[in-house]
Amino acid sequence: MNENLFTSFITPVILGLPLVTLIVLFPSLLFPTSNRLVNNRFVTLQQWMLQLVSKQMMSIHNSKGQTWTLMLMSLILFIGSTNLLGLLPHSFTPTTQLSMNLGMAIPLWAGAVITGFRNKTKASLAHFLPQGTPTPLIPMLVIIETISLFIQPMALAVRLTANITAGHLLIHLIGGATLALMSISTTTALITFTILILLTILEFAVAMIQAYVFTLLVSLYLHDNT
Amino acid sequence: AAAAAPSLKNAALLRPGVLQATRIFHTGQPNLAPVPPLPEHGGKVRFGLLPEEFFQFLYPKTGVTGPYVLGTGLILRLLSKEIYAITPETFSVISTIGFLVYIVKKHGASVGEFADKLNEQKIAQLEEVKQASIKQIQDAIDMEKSQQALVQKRHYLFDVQRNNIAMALEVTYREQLHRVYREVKNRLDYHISVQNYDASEGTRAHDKLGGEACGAEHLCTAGEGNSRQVHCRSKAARKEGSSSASYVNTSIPIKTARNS
Repeated sequence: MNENLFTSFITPVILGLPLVTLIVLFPSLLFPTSNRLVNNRFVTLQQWMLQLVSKQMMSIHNSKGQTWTLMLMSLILFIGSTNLLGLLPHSFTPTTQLSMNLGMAIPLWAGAVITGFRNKTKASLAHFLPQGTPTPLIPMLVIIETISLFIQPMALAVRLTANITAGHLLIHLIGGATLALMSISTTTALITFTILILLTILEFAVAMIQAYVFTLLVSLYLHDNT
Repeated sequence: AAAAAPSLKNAALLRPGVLQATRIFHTGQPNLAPVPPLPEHGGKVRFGLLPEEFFQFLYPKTGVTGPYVLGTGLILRLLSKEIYAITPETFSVISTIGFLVYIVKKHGASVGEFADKLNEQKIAQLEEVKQASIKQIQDAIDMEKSQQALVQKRHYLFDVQRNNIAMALEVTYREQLHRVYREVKNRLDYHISVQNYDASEGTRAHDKLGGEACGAEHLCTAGEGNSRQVHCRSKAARKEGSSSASYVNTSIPIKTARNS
């Protein structure tokens, strides 16, 4: 199963059937809904965390932007949970696939931008030129701003993919180094193993941070455009 | 009844609730029987994976070390036959699972307490609203009771007021009576002094008396109630033709105080 470095990134297929659908849908099982006032600890903690995140993230928007709350909250939960589940051994992380991240980033970014162009056309066009630029620079600056606008979805998707993939690769490589060093010199192997532990802690943090960053940037684009 | 009741189950041709046929919305009891309550704590496990019952099951045959020997043998067999191969992934397994176990062991209880505290806060908030409402109503009841008690005692106030008014009326009456008496006495005294003066003018010398004002003095020294009456009458009998005399003809029993 793990002959080379690429195997953990192949989309899982069992007997020709895409298992990846189930893998993508699986994190939804981990967020139970409950209509009670007093729940078990699991649901209570999830509800508390969701309330915290939504308050922190959606308070900057006006009422039009706050209609996106459900979308952004489910986005951060999905990315966070898939990243964290991918850290378990022998698991597949959907967010390592560029295709999926592009599929998340482009519609969200385009939705925000098109909303801005439809409802506040002048203000959206005004974003292309920062305030206080000297007149000779204006054409060049407009081109640069346009490029930076169109690169936003690419940046979103590639950022997430690269971070998670790089993290998984590093874990794999350093694990391999530990394995190779075990027969040569145990002390070095232990040092490498310590590095591996630290990296794991980092990866847990990165998993959650990437989810946060993705959602934050989408919300920022939204804020500019509502 | 389940098929006939209006529900999502019978809503359309394909019956969208067909997968959840046993859960009809709001048409009856939510469960089919009194569901037994869930136990408070889950089953006991060792190493977080193996239930305690397994160890108890093996105990009669293999004693305490039985399950551990079984586990060790299984793991060694998996490793030696490379059913489970040591790969770079193994080290990531060790580090990840080790990290997770460490976190859970260290902070598990405090996170659970935090969750319990969240729930408790929710309930306490609602309980406080309920208690405030109860307290408000209780205060209203107490105030009502105290006001009813006050109403019961209100007749004291009315009695006092009634007594006050009666006293005031009595005082006014006596005052008026006294005034009447004084007025009448004044007039009568005047007439008596006039009569005395008239009577004494003939008998005594003017300068001996020193003025008609002394007539009143004589009157005061002479008079007890009935004697004055007699006096007046006798004087009146002597006199004639003066209008004041006819005044005094009526015999009025007047009780006089010393200092009138």
